[in-house]
Amino acid sequence: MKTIYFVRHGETEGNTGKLFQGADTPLTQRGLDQARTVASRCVKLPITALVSSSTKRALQTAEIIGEKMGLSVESVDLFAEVRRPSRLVGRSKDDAEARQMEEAWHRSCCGDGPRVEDGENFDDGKARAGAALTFLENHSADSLLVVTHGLFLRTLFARVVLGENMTGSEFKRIIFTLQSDNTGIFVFTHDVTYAASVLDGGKDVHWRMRVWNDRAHLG
Amino acid sequence: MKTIYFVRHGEAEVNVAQTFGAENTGLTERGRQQAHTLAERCSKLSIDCVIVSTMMRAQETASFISERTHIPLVSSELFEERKRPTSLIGKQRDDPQATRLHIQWIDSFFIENKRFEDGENFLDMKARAAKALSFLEMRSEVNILVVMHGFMLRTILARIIFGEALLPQELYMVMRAFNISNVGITVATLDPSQESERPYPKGKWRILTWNDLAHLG
Repeated sequence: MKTIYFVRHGETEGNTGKLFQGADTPLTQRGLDQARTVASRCVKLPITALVSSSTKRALQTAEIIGEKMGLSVESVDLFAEVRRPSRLVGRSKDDAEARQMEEAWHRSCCGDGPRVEDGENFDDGKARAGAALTFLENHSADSLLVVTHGLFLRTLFARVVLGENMTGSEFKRIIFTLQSDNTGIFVFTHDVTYAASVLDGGKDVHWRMRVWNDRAHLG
Repeated sequence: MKTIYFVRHGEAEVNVAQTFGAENTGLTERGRQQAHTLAERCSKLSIDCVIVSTMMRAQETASFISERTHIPLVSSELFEERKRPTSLIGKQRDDPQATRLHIQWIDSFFIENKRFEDGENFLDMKARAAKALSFLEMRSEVNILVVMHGFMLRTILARIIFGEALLPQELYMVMRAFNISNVGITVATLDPSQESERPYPKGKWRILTWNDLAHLG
């Protein structure tokens, strides 16, 4: 059995501030504190490898966890956040045109509209989630911690639930119902099960979600 | 906004038994330990009332919580586990004939228009999940703990995610992907002001946490 502990990065200005966030936003003081808190919880977990999205806020969170655990960070682009159109980054959330563009981008992420400039869309997110699962299945460690992002985590999870044929309308249902908080812990396993339904035909190897957004360390 | 804490009962005799569905059994020694740990954790939450399935394993789990916290218990049949076909109860799990019947019953949750004898099927569970959610919406309390069962809880979750249009194959995907443990804590919020279909299907229900086991160490 393979166990993956996902951690969402700590709080950033982009999560709380007035600007649409890009790749270089650092953690806030609160985000740094959250990372230290989650790190002291991670040391109790049987983790042998540490992977992080290559984006600054995730790497910063992962470095703090790695230092506490004595593990070096493997930076992997596959776990980056679903990418906004670059023209949106740094623009005010109060700017009406920017807000419209953000909404159009959100729709494209759900398969509901055309791609917005160089932003990733539903097909991109789905393909990257599939590639990320394959990466984890093939990783040499059996117990990994992966620091990643809110929308990508939910995309990954929707892909686990709905499989490679997932549609935008089912995907939407999942990503808008489940919440992901800064430094929440999410546990997935990849394992053989013997399900009691003819739909499985007996033996079945698949991903399952064991814990979603455990925030017990945040009080 | 309301907060609902859904909890699965502690490990029960029925979870470890070699026979199908000795339904009204209590907790194992391990299950009682889990219930004790759960009650400690619940004492730190602000909870106004505890709703509990009428089944013995849920009642026994809830009794640890009420002893520790003195929060009143309210029993409800809406949160019971899926009802098994009478003919299966007491049959050995390794009996091939019983296993075949068991599979026929399980498939009645995941394939349209199937029913196995007097067991509950997909439509029964979906209707009961909708009733259970309305029941929680109508309660006057703000913070509610519900002590219940694994299959029924995942049916409620599937009904929250996919809404009224929930299909048997979607229920199947939820059962397959969501793992649930004894005394895991699932947190949902209910905020009717959030409901909208446009531009996104923001429901009034949200799932904050699934199967938090931090209290088990």
